[in-house]
Amino acid sequence: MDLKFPSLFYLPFFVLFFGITCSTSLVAQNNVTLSGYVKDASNGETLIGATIFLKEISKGATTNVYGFYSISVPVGTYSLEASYLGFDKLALTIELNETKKLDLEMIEESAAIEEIVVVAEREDQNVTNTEISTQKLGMATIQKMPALLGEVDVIRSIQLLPGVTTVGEGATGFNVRGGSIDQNLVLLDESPVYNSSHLFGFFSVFNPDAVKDVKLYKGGIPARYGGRLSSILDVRMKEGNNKQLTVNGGIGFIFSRLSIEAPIVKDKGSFIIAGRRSYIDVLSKPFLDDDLSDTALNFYDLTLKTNYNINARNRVFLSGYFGRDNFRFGSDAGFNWGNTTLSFRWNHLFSDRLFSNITIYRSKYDYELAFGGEADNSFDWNASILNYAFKPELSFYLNPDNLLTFGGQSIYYTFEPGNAVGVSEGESTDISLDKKFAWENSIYLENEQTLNDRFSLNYGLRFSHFNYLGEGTKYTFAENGPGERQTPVDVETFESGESIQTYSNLEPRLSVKFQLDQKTSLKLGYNRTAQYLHLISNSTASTPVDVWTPSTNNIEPQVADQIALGLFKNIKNNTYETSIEVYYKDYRNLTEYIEGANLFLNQFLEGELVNGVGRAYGVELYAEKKKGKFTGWLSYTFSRTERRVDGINRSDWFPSRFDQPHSLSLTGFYEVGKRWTISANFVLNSGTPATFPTSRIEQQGYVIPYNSLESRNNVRIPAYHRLDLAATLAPKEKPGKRFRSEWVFGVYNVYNRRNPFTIFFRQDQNRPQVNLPVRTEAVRFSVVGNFIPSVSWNFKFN
Amino acid sequence: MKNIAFMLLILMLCFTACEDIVDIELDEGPVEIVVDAWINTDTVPQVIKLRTTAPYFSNEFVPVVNGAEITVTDEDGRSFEFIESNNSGDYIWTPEPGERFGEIGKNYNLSIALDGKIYTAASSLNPTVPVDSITYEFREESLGEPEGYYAEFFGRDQPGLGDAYWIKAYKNGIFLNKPQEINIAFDGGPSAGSEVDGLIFITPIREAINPDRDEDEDDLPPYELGDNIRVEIYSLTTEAFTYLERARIQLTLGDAALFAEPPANVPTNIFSSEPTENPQGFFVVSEVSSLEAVVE
Repeated sequence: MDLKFPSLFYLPFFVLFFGITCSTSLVAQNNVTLSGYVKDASNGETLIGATIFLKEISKGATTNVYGFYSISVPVGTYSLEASYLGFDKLALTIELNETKKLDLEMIEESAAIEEIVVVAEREDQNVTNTEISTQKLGMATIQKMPALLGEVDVIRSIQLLPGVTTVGEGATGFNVRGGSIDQNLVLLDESPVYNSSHLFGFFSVFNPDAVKDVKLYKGGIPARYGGRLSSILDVRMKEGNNKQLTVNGGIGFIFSRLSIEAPIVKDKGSFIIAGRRSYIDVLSKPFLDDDLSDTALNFYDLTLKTNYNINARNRVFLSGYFGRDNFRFGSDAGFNWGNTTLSFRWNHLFSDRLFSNITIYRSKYDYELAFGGEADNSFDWNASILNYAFKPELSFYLNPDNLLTFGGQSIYYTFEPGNAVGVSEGESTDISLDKKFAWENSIYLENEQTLNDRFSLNYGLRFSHFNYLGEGTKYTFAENGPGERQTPVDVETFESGESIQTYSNLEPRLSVKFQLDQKTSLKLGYNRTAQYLHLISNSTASTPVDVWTPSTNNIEPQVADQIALGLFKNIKNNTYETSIEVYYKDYRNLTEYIEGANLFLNQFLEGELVNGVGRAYGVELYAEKKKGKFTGWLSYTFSRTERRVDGINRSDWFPSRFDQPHSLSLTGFYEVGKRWTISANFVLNSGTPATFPTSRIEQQGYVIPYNSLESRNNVRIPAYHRLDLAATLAPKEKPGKRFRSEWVFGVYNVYNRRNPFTIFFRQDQNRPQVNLPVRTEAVRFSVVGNFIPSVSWNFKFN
Repeated sequence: MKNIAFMLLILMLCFTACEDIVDIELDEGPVEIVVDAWINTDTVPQVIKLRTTAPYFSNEFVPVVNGAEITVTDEDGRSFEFIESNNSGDYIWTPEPGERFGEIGKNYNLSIALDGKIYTAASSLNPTVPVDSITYEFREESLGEPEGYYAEFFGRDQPGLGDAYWIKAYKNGIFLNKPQEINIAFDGGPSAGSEVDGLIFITPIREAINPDRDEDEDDLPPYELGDNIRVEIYSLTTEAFTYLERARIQLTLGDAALFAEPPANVPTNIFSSEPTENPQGFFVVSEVSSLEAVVE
């Protein structure tokens, strides 16, 4: 294999090595280090983002994604305060004469005053940390929000956050600040998930019983993340209760769920296994005729994780996800797709100040289609993307004011864009496309630095390198004018491991916080991101059969620059959190498609693609009430997202399909008495743009719509608005009770609005009569046409 | 892709998806000439229609264009005059008894002279393949399809890449003319780009000679005893195939609306001597083969 990298690739390593060598000696001898883990006392789950604060020196530390913290301070006696929202504050006096390990177990606030945990961090962390354009959603919040058919869902919940939109119900994925769905890096325990949806976009693949923490980066993306342009959705799974056996479960309209967590060795290791399955098919089976008895319609997923504390310095984790959607119609046609991910992680403490994690993961998405029940006439088609990756990362707690993180990632991809065999009257034809291979490498260095009481910043640099590898074919195309299909003119084949095309990008990242007063801060974020993978999809909503393709000599990597500025202010003792952010984003090399592009099983696919540029800008207002009987948030976004592509819309700027200038969402929770919680969502979005014809062309008796102005997305469909309600009945509190169950009642789309997904044009449905003019009509298509009530029942045993 | 769209559609019906017909005001655009010139080697008179575009919702016959001089000339200079009949905008060439239009393998140029402007287009006349047989079988009601006789035709793509066909079916002389019934084949498969060749037309193409049915109960039912089934295979140029493929997409965007691609104009092979004009429509010369069967 071609292992050559530009010498620049090694530069950050030298800088790091040099930096660490210097800094280690710089730390004075009389400094000592306090480090350890912060955990939930009830189940041993590590707490992400808990704060440790030393009053005497007004300095602190925050636990990382593995619950680890470390702080180096002069010898002395300190009053330590540990805090984590929803948990009782922990205060103790600690004498630090030498380097010390201190694991802290925090106790959840007693149920009587239990608040809805919205942001599980230090109360004013939103103001004091350097993160901009970042949103965290606690699982407790997600679980209380009204949900479609009562199914708690991570991705549908984040669509209520400012800057996050969707083209409509049923559309896979989500759009962040004008980015398309393939520009979101969705991580499940550090492993990417290529298709985050079950049943198109109705449900996401994350089992809420197994999720611990959800964080979305819309901007100011730190250098440790890369590979996608627009956002990072970092989903962390629970480790599993390491104190006692716990069983969670539920029955809803769509899924039945069950999860079991238990210690393997108490306080040392634990596991969680969580499964869900839809059961429409089981319920409908008795009603199907014989010829349909083979019909299947189900989706399921299984999430597994186990961890073990080998000793104080070493801990290992193994996580896996296996999910599948399965559809079969009689014995004639079948269709299934799914993701599998597997990640192994090893946390190792080189010293009390040097934390390391090594992740090795494998992720695969594949689908399969089959038509024709008989052997003589059939069509089978499957496709996949598979990767293996190695990802080491080191965090060096240089001093209380500097946290250095550095690491890298090496991903090897195998693409199978389509294996297809058709059989016609017993004659078989193989029209499979060649596999494609690629190797993506990146290294990064990031420093979280506090300059003084007012200024802190996170700066970093990521260098990414992409190698499109053989065995493969390099196609050269001739341009045929803007927006026209390009014709292949030259073909060159490459041996296994030979480099066909390489690309590299330097991606600077920066976020700066300037504290205006104790409860107010101003933040600035900038990031450049590069993306070497492209989801080939020309439809409004992505379909499960869309294929991922690497950058090639014809498809350049997508690059985006984003700058964001925000003002953050907390009011009334952190009861209210408010923020206002503005951003501007510039996209280059966006993958677009010629009109009438043929994207499936086409070996000359690259000739159907064209490059576009994009721009997106907006202002996001956010206010959240975090304490009291009534909690919730209000967000309003004004944004625009536009594209320009040669040959489309007269080569002029046009709004992207998910351009929704106004977006308002309101989410509220109200505690009624001790047992009832009522929640509501309201959303109001501008309609998405659509392309409407002006004229009709009559040809061979058909009436074909024609837009004589050659415009794309020239009309906006009516606005989208919807109200959802839910009520949760919690069990009666009885000390010592081991089985608890709750009921959730909900109504989705309460006032029965038929929100248009799109408006399309067609000849009326009657068979055209030879001597009569053809009539045409406009049709509003709504995915959800009614209100949808739901009931679900959840239980917990421990 | 049609089958995938169908499956996705069924999945969508599991939800509460719904369609409503709505009133929409559309922008108006400039009026363009539309040439409807699909001529073939059959022994019947050949018609070229000259029309203009009209507002999409006009819902009446589109305006006709009178007074043009239309000639089709082959590469050897032999020309065919198309004469307008009764100011209808229909221009007709009538063969002598036993005569057919054109010769397989030759290239043809269309020329339309109108008000001092010239519209031109070119097409080759590609060979078609015979309809080898038509079979049918009785099926019980299944998957929402009513009971009745379901037919299938057999034919084989000719060797070599780039052969395209339009298969037209008639039930008792009524042309199956819904957009969903547009049945085209490229090298025996459904679309260009995949290297299938010389195949017996694949099953979905063979079976697409049955009336398409939706919720409309008055529409043509499946074949019944005594029905006449006629199948014709027209050869197409690659460009004409692309035209029909894209026309079908634009005409059926609503069949799987969630996964529809962006609406786009269909291409054209008509050129105008006036650069500001955007004439629309298509010109192609096809060879045609046919076979009939009666359900007994």
